[in-house]
Amino acid sequence: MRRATLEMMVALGLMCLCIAGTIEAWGFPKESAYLPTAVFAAASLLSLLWAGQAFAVRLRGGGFLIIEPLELRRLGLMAAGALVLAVAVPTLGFFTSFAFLVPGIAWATGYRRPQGLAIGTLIFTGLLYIVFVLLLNRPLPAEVWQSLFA
Amino acid sequence: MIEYLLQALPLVFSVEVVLAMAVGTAAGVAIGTLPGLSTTMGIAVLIPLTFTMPPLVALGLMAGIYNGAMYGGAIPAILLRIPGTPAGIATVFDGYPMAQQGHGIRAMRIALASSAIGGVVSAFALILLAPPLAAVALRFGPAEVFWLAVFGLTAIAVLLSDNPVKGLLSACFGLILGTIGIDQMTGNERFTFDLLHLTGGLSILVLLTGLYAIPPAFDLAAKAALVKPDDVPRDLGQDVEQEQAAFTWRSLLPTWLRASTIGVLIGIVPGAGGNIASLIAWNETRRTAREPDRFGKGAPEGVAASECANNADNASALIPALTLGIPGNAVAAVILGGLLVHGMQPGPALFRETAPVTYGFMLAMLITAMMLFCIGWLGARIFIHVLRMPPLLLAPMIVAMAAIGIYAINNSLFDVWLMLGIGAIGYVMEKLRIPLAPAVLAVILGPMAEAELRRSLLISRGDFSFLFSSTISLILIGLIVFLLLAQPIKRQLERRSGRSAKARKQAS
Repeated sequence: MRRATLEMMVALGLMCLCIAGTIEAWGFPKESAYLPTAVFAAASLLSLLWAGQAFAVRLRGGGFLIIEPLELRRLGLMAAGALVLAVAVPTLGFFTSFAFLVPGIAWATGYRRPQGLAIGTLIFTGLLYIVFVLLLNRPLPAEVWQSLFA
Repeated sequence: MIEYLLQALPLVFSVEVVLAMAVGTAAGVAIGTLPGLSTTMGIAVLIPLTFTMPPLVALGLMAGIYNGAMYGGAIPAILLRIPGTPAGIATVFDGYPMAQQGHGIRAMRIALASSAIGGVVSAFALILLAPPLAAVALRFGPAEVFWLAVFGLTAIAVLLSDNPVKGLLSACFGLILGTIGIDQMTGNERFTFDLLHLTGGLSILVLLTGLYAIPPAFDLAAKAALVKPDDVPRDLGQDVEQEQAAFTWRSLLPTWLRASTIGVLIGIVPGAGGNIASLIAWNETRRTAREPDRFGKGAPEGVAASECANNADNASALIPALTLGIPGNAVAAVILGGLLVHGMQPGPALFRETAPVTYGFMLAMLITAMMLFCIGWLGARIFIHVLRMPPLLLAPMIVAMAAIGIYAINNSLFDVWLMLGIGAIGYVMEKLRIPLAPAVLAVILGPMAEAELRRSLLISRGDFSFLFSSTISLILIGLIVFLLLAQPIKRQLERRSGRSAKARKQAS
C-alpha cells in the first residue's frame, strides 16, 4: 500500500472522530466546554488539511509502505504477549507471569538460546523482585505459587 | 541564586542522591549503547520506579540517564557505524574510521572526554542563565503565562516535525488527553465515559510510559538483530605509549570550545536537538581545520566536535524548559513530565516554590557530566558487552518493566491497560511520522493554559481584549503567528525558486 493512501485514510477517520468529539464537547456545561470544543474543532480542520496533503502526495505518486512479513509477525507476537501479560497478572502475579512470558515471547519471536533465556529471565525477574518487593515494598498481586503453599 | 545553590549542595551530596546519579549515569550509557533504545525511553521506563522516591533522588537519576545516554550513543557509532542515538550520527563520520584503523579505544576515550566537557559547559550555562530568565518570567501575569504556554506548544509542534500539521495534531491529542477527568474549576466531568478510573484524569506517568516505552520496545522486537554478537569487534586496539605521545589532548581544546558553544546555543532553541548541534559542530570544525581532508577518514577532532556538541545540548535544552515550560527537545519534554510527577509545575514557579530541588537538579546535571567521565573510563569495556544483548529478549523485558512500574503507582490494572492502549497509539503515530513530544507537552501545558485563560477572564470580567492588552502578550502572539507561517512561506519560496531554476535550465 502507498503511504499517502494510508495517511489519507487515517486522516479522514481521524476527522470523523474529531467531529464526534466536537459534538460531545459542545454538550458540556459552558465553562468546561470552551477548550475541548475549540481543540476538537481545530483538530478536525487539521485532519482535513492532512488528508488534503496526503491526497496531493498520492496524485504525484508517493512511496510505498513496506513491512516485512517477519517484522509483522514479530509485532503481532509482541502485541499478543503484552495483552496476555495484562490478563495473566491478576491470576498468576507479576513475577510468575514474567517467568513464563518474557522467555516465551523472546522464543516465539526468534531468540532460541535456552541458556540466554534462562539466565536473562532469572536476572531480570530477580532484579525486579528486589526493587519492587524488597526495596520499594509495593503491594503487588499475590503470586500463584503463594496461594498454593498457603 | 547563590543562596539557593548553597541550600541545594548538601541535598545533592546526600548518599542516596549520589547513588541515584551514579546508577542513572551507568544505566544511561547502557541505554544509549543499544541502538533502538533512546534516552526518552530510558527515562520513561524508570520514572515509575522513582515515584516513591524523594524528588531530588528521582531527578538525579534522570540527569544521569540524560547525560549518560548521549555518550552511550557514541559507542556503537564508533564500533559498528550505527549511532546509538540520533545525536551520534556525526560521530560515525570519524569514529568508525578510527576504529577501523585500530584506534577504537582512543576514539571512545576522546568521545568520553568530549561528552563530559560538553556536559559540564552546558550545566554551567544552565546554572547561570536559567535563574535570571526565570526572574523575568516570574513577572508575567495570567494572560502572558497563557500565551507563553500556547507559544511553547506551538514551537514544539511546529519545530519537532517535518510537517507542522502533524505536530499540531499531536498537540491537539495531548490537549484532549489533558482535559480528561473532573474539571478542577467547575467540577464537571469531561470524557470520563462513566469510568471511575478516569475521573482523576490521565496520569502523566501512564502517558509517558505508554508513548515512550512501548513503541520502541515493539520496534526493537520487529527489527531485531540489528546488532549481531559477532559484529562487535573484540580487539579495539590499545592506546599505547607511542601513539599517546603522537596525540596530544591539548590539540582538542579549540574544538571543545567551539563545539560546546554551538551545542549550548542550539540547545536553547526549541526543536533543534543534539543531532543538529553535532552535525553543525562537526562541519564547523572541518571548515576551520588546517587539513579538512582528514575529516571523514578518522580525525580525532571530528569525534571530539560531535560528542562535545551533542552533550553540550543536554542541559542547555533545559533552560527554556525549566524557566518557561518550553522544552528544547523531546527528552526535556519527558523530564518536564518527570517534574510534574513529583509535584513540581514546570515554568518560572520552579524557581520560587521548589527552588532548592530545582537548583539541586541543575547541580545534578553538572555532577553527572563529571561522573560520566569516571564511569565511562572505568567501564568502557563492560559497556561494549551491552551491545551483545539480544534485542528479542530485551523487548519483552521493557514491556514487562513498564507494566509493573505503572501498576505499582496506584495498584491499578486499568492503568496497565491504558498504558498499553496509549502505547499502541504511540506506535501508530511514530509510523505515521507524527511527533510524540507535542502530545506530552500539551498534557503538561494544556491544563495550565486553560487555568490561566480562565483566571484572565475572571480578572477582566469576561473581556477577551485583556488577553491582548500587554506588550509581552503581543510579542508572544507575534512569535506564535511567525512560527505558524514561517514553514509554509519557506516551502512556498523553495517551490518557487525550484521552479525558476528549472525554467532557467530549460531555457539554457
